[in-house]
Amino acid sequence: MLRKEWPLIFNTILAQLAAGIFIFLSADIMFVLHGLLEPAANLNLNGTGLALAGPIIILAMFLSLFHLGKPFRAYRAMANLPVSWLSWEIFLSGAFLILWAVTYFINKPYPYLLGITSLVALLNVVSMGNIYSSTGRPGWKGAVTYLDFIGSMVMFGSVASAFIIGGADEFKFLINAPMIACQLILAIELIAILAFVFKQKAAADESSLDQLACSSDLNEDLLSKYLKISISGWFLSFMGVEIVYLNIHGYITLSLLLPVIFVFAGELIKRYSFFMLVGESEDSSQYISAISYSKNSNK
Amino acid sequence: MGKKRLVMVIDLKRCIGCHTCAVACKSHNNLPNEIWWNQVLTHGGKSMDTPRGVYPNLHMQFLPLACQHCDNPACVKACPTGATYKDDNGIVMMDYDMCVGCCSCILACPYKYARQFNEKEPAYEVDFRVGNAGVPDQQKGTVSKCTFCYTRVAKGEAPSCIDVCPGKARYFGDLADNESEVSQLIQKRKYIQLLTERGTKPSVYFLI
Repeated sequence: MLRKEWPLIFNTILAQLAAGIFIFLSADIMFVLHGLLEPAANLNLNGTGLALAGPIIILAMFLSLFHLGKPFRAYRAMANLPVSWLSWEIFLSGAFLILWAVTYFINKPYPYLLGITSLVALLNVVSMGNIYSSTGRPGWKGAVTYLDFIGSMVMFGSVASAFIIGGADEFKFLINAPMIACQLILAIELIAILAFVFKQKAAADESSLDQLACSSDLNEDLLSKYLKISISGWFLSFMGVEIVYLNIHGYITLSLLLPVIFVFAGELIKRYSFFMLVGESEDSSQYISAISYSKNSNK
Repeated sequence: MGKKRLVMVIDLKRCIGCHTCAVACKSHNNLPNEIWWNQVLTHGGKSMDTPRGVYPNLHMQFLPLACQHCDNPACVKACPTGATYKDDNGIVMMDYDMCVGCCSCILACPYKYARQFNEKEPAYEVDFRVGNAGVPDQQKGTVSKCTFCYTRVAKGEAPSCIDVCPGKARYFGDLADNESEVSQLIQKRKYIQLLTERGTKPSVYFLI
């Protein structure tokens, strides 16, 4: 695993947390605005928890600087918008922050503003998915990365809005549907993790030139570690989602802060396992290890 | 005259795994201690020169590997600053002054060790500059990679790894020219390119 990936683990998780909070709370506010629950003419928007999204995305953007070799050149990272998804991700993070600031200072629930900001937040998460998915690395390609990233966003948004809205009966329908979506996402994720490990272990037995040249050095030890860590993370997220689900159906009575902690920890651990799939090859060179060996033996 | 398409051809049957190409590359490009753009890999594991299999049934296969200078390079599309780009001769280049060190090119590249990150201030075993004077200095916090020795190519010479190979396993030339040595070899001999299913269209051909 690249040592430089830690800031990215937190950057992606926090950006998805901010997007989830904003999108889900905005959706809840829309329901309120449309008179489904109560009139909202005097709604204090920042009092709903929407204000949290801004500091979180600022923290996410700040942490991302630490994975750059040249942080003071970071302003150049939007220079390749025509082809680079990373440029788009940085652009959309900035746009989300600006739009959030506008909603924060206006502090009034304008549906168009909430809708556009939510869309930008979602596109930011999608462009993050595109960065990793387009690398073609095993475990990152295809729908798996989007499932991981958008799944985290949905789970964060669902449990955060459940915590903020609370377990009152009249809000139950706003929490129940997202929880069913979270359970579906978790079921698909579990199948995807197991299928990936099984497929890669079968491929590890081959010894072609392609395999020797491939930068994704996923050996059996790494795959076993990946399986253990990702299942641990998955289990924590599952616990968090189930606590909310059982709570709103009256089977248990636990603080809804607990699922927020469980899901955050679970998704963080899963993201760590996602970045484990960078492989170990980037970290070391056979020449460096050979030179260190020869220097140590000469001492 | 049409556009050039510079390619490298490596005859795996002639490669004896001497690592001369790796050392020549390192000295010509004045690479810091931990950076090796060109490496000769073997199947047995992470250590150098390790065979595949269980004694006494061992098999040694050398694979000299560096940037594949792809026709459809994933790194160029991943770079957010445009620091990595393709020049008119088809060489995938790096501009160290533009690089922010995000390593997205390393993540996007499917080839092992093709790109390397200068994590520390470049340090050298010797206290004087070696190699070609026209090669730009390495910078801490940036990514670097094989450039097909573009300063030599500009003078009509072949990359340094080609000239030093004692087994005459390496060839370099213009694939757009049907009469060139590389074109003739590719027409006559059986060859492979690495990880073609990734759609990168590499410019390095391995004769098998």
